[in-house]
Amino acid sequence: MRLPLPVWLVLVGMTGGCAARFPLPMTAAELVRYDSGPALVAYLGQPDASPAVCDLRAQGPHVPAFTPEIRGALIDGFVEGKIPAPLWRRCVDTALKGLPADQVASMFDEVMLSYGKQLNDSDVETDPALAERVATIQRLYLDRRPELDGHQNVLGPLFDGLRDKLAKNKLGPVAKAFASEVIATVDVERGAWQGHPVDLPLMDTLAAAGNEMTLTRFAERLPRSELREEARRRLVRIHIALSAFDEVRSSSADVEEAVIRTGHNPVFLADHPLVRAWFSEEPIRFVLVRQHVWQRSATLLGYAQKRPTLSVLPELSLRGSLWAELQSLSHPVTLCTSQRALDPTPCLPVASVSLDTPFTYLDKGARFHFRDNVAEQEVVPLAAHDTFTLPVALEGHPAVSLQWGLSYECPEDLDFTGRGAGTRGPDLDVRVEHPSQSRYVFTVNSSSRSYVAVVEAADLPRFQVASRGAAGFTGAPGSRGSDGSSGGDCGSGGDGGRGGDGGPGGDGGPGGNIDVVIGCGAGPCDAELLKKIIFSAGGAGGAGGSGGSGGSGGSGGTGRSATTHIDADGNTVVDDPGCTGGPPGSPGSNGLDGTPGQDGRPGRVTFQVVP
Amino acid sequence: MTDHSGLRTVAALGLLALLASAGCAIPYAYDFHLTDPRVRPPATPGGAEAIEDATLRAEVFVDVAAGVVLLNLTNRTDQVLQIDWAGITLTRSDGNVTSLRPDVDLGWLQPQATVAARLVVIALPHSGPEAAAYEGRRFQLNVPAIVRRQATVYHYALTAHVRAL
Repeated sequence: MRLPLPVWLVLVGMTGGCAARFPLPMTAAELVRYDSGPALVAYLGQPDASPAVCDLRAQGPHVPAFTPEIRGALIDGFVEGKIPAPLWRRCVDTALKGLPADQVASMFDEVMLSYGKQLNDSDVETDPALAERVATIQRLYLDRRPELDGHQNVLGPLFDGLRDKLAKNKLGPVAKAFASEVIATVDVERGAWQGHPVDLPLMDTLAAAGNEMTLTRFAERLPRSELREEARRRLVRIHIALSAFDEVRSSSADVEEAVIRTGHNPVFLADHPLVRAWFSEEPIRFVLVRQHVWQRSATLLGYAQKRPTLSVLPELSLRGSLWAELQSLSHPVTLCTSQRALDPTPCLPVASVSLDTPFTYLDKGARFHFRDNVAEQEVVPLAAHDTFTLPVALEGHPAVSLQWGLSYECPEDLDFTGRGAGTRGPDLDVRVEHPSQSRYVFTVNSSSRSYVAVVEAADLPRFQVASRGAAGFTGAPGSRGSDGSSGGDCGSGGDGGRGGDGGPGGDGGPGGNIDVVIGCGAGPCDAELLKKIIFSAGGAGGAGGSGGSGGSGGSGGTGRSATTHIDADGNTVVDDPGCTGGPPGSPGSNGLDGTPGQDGRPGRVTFQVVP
Repeated sequence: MTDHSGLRTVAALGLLALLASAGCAIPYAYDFHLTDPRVRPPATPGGAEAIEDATLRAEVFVDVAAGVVLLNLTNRTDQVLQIDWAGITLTRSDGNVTSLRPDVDLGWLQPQATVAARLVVIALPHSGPEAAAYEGRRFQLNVPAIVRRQATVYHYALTAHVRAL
């Protein structure tokens, strides 16, 4: 079917209007359940979102695959400004590490085609956001690992086009700066730099000038691995020459070999015992526990003092923020950086650090991530503490702790009701703990299951635990009265019959019995308030059935016209005088409404306050 | 009217609309000034302002039309001074951070030596209300370096001024 253009425009507009919306904050686990490109874009648009969801090798929740739909959404979301540039870069970088080779090439094809479009947009000269996106993609491409690339038949024409525009001076200053760097680096991949083949004398000249920029290009982009290693060695030597550690410069040959071999110069507590550890830039967050009491699970969310919007908890990079003073080292050390940095600075191996909490896991990039969807039972022990503590250990030895604010969102009421009309509410055993001055923990056992809720003391008046009888059933409605009979000729209609009375409503079920034990462990607790919010209530009596409506009166009989004839004398003789129509019957009266059921009685509630 | 001539008419109208809107967009020029009590005025009118401490002298000039930040650095120490050229950033008042790199690869600064870097790219609106909105905006140029073997970051605060041309 061919549709006229206006119809298509309307349809396209409607489709755009139906763009998926997702409730936020969205945790990583929720993203995985959505499993769609738009959901990934929405997740990454949140403050503190973690690119670990893009890591197909991640231990934590992540997208199951980078389908063409998800790749397309990721690129479109970036171009449309929905994903911050640094986070987008890290997401794609992370994704590339876990993708099969053919998908890596496709990802680069699609990303670089988008790059080409944006670079050729004249707005790149004057639009800071567009220029930032172009710069982000450019760095993603130029800083990629040597073995990763797009398809030559896709990227070749793109680069040829850029060369042509550079030669013909067809680019504005901003686009020209971008294109020049790309083309120069593409030339390095062919073994040339500024029109000359790359060799060791050139590298030595660059090393003598401390030119890390060009040597880094060589180390990452030259086609031959032995030349790449030579470039890496010269970079390491520059870094050693600039090192603040006397012990690094005095053992330069050993350090150079270690860094070339492993990418790091790791140190161990067995050789250098810990003196002290501290955070230089402590990330401050407040943890909010959202409880799903009936599902017996919880979600950990976060907010910052400067950003009160609730979002997911951030990943924690301890590199550069966790520092340790170690015996016989001249300067403090932090966690080892990426291998590609070729940093000879003594550093702590990522594997030496652990967070002694069940809520985090460590990724390969030295970042801790929160398990944001957890069992309710896991968050209950936290209620005893005023802060959310993240104890950091080095090689198993306690070193330092992060202390974050902690609060519990007021949970849904633990309100139990009898299961069928008029049935009794369940009997409950309730244990109230008071593990800290600011919180109460309610554990409610019904016959079948146990439920837990943590409530901030300030939220106590808004929370309740109840056993309610079920409401009584509604009485049956009365039957409708019979309709009166229709009158015969000239006769009256019959009266309608009376409607039937409604049936009585059922009695409400009684509330269940509740035995409450209040343990005021952490000091005085508000027992009077607890007695108000823990209660048993009978179910409301069912409403009586409504009375049946009376039958309608029968219609009156029809009238009859007089009939006559003319006799032989010419006189009019009345054969039948006829009659007028009969009156209709009266409608029947309505039946009476049924009597409502009795409200159920509350059950027995006992309170026992224990220390 | 044929389809072809219709398209031409629409294109002509579009061009007129474009010209009309372009005519309404006022072009602006930018002036950036270092905001630091230690700043030294430019040696020549319209030149770069300078700021220096015991280790580094920096002359900063932002050329928006060329999309570059001109940064002349002089090592005032007696040791080589390494600039992390790939790590230079420009922080905008909205918190967004833009990476700037020299348009040619550079190395370290020998003692008392000066290097002139053209840092690319800086893209700013040249006309219209988008450009006018930059009046008074603050920026910070961040230059990471290793000075006397210690990692440090030089911060240079800048304020933009725009004027209609």
